[in-house]
Amino acid sequence: MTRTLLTGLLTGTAAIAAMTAPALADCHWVPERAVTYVVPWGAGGGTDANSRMMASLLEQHFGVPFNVVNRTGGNGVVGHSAIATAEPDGYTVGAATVEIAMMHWAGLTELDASNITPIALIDIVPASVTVADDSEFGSLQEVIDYARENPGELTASGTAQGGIWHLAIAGLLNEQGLDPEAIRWIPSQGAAPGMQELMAGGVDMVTVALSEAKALIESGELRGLAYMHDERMSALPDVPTTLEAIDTTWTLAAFITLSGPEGMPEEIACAYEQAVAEAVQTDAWAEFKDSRGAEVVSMPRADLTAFIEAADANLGATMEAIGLTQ
Amino acid sequence: MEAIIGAFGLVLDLEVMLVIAASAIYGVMVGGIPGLTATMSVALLVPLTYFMDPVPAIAAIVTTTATAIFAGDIPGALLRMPGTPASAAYVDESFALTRQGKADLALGTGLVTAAIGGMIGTIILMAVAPQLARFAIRFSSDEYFWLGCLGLTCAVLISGSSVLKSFASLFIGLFIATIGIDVAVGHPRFTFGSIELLDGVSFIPAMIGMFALSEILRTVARGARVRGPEQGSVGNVFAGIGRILLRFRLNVVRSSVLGTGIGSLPGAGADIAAWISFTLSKRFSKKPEAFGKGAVEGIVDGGSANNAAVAGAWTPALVFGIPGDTVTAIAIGILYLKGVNPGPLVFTQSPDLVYAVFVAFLCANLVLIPVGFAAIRLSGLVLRVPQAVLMPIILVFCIVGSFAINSTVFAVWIMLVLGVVAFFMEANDIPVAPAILGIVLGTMVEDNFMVTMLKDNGNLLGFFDRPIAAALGALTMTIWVYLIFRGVRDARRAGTTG
Amino acid sequence: MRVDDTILGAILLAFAVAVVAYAQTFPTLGGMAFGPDLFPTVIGCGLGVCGIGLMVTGVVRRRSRNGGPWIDVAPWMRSRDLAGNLLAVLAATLGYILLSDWLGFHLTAMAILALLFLKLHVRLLILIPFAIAVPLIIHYAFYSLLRVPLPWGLLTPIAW
Repeated sequence: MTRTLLTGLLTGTAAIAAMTAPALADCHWVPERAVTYVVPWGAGGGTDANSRMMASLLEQHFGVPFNVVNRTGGNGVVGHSAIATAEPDGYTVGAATVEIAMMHWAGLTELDASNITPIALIDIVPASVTVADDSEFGSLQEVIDYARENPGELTASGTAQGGIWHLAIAGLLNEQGLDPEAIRWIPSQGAAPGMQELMAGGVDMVTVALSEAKALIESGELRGLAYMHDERMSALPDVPTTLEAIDTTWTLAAFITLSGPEGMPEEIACAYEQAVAEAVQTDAWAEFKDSRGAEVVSMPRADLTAFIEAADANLGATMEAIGLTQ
Repeated sequence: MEAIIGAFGLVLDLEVMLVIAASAIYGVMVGGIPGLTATMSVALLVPLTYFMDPVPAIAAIVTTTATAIFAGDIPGALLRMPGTPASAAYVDESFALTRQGKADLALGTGLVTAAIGGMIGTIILMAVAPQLARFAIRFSSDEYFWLGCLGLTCAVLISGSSVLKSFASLFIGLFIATIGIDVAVGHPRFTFGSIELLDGVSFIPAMIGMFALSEILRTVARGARVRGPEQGSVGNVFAGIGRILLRFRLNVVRSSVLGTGIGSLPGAGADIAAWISFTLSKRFSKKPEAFGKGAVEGIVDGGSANNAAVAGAWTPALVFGIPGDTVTAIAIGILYLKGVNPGPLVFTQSPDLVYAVFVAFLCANLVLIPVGFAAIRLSGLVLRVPQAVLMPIILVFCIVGSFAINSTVFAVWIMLVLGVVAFFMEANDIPVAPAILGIVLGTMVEDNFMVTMLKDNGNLLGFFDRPIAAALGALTMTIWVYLIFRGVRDARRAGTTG
Repeated sequence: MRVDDTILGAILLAFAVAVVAYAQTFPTLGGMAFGPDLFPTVIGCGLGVCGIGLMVTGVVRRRSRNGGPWIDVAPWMRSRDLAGNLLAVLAATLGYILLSDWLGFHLTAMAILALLFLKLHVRLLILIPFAIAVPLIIHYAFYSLLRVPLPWGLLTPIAW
């Protein structure tokens, strides 16, 4: 089973210069009134922050208001279906996230990536394994060894049952030949409540995005044991990658896109693609990304579709293996 | 100390003061419109703050939330439509005062106690933020479960009518809260195939329906008057406030301290702070019989607690970067962007910025008084409009307010259905407040119960494993036993005296 | 419309039974006694107890005062005009739900305001300016200032 979602597909900062939008003639679509920007997750979260920043840059670019609307609920189903079922006239776009490639496997909805028109990659958010500072575990290897000997004793948290971070740890355990339940999943209403639970001593680890745990790691409250990515995070160079920690190729990242409804005309999608390509090169975007400890990412539209398809297949296989499919 | 003086220097700057004034006006406007929450008002500010310096950006957020929370009192008092959930706890008291022609008293009290509560909260924050955060951070799902139970108990304690009917109302609210995807296995409950219901019944349209729409229905069912105001006007807002403050000075202090404490618990916040303070207010009042008929005391307690909680919510945000509520979640994002990394180190690395937050809070609560005063005077015009003209306009506001929270017409359905339910509940003396509280706290209680059960592999004793949880649990249990005793006594008395 | 506690209790009990029965169809968590059915069941039982309690107090009270009306007729149930008011508010809300996407916010809001003003006997001199101005003001405040995407509907071609 291929466990690397990103290899060969993710283009980092360096590639940006080479990645200016295709200079096609029919990219001149411009919105004439306010655009609704649907975010399937709550205000204050990472998807919300990225989308609001992107919305304000698109607003400058197009000169019309971009109204961010948080359509939360149903583990993302509500917001994603709001994006997918809107008129593909360019006046509704949204932040489709990794869940578009997960929820149909879980049997929550029929909706999948074929129901949206991916336009641009906004963020890549790799998972981590993070423990409290006073934890007895000093490395990911120790965690895995302990879980192997005492299955079901350790607990992890960070998102809802069957959410992306649940997949991160269950998939890792499965890949290491353990029962995916060897570390029990404790659902939480998101990363922040999960980390609160960790600091209060309620769970043994969280597997939230390393960028989400960054502040508490820097302040010494938490310790990052592993980063589920190919390279270390430049903002937290002391946290080893999974490859370095336990010699596995297992990586897992959530992603945030800008997407439109299914069947969005090429002219509109291409205009948005160009606008985003310009926006991600601004200083404002770079500063914003830097403040969150994230890298500026981008990806040509054609590659993005393939990227989501690959993610879909890999996540489906993982969910199948750990018994989260229906 | 140096940092505090430095912070005053940062905030007392012409540009920052202008931002504070503008944010205050904006906050009052948004908070005064039912359906628009303090969270939404801050979310809308985000793009603007990207292009501001750190101090004005922080000042804008802080001022907007502090003023928005107060402004929620205005439509609550005048029209029984709490502008923000934090005003819902004492809306019945302030509306009752308005109907007695004392809208000025209700709003003046709300305004002044909000400002004082906010300032006391800020001072507490300045003094003990790190220690307070250390305590708050020890709360895990066990403690939150008991805290939620304690909050639910408030519902029954505050209601004036029979215990049976209060419980019935509470259970109706709790039932509404179970609608949607469940936390343990992600199974959709009572959604009947509706995608919109997966997220459950959102609280804002529920609140608008149960308070405002039911009030509209009641008014038109009585026959809305075509001409002439019904409830007098808003006179001198500050008349008699001094006496009230003097008389209820202990209430102000108690509720401000309590509000700050509850606000500092991540996930609790201003709504719950207002409910709990209001309940204590009634329990410890020398005149509990005045409650429900326009008790100023209840407004004093609820009003000071919710603004103090706004300050308290910044404790875990600043000290650990863990948001106390959605507003601070957004604020943390903005702080990062401004190069301020919330966490224990922030107090040593950029103390002047931390204190700038506090000073901004103080200024916001001071500015609140004149801006709030103007808003009250302006909104007093509403009382001069004949009901027959006012009711249809309010209905449109209810519809748009419900729609605004998620931009979905489904929310209007929720408002409509629950408005009708509340109309019949109140006609039968079933109080609405416990149901509202049930909707607010139901999810919190269930989620934390399930999480605790999952952590402890289904061992119920786990709820008493941790010292704080055990204390909270014992307290809750004691109150429940007392309530059951009272319920049985009431039932017997009803049986014998009829 | 005030109904006797006995009837009220019976309604609550029936609802409670339905909730509990439906909750039993929810899946349980592998091997655990606590699942998604637990809270609805507990709530349903609580509601049922309240219902039974109300029925008991209702019966006892009826006996002590020898009967009485089962339903107190509210003023609006006797007056066609007042009942019409209630129906008009409900119909206006329902109308907004069903029509706003197609008609757009302005037209729907104007229509329901005019309808309700008419029903409540507001003079035309007030009715017309208010029915036109209020939606425009609300639209400006919510759509333009507060960024709430109110639908344009039929007016999309002239959207601003």
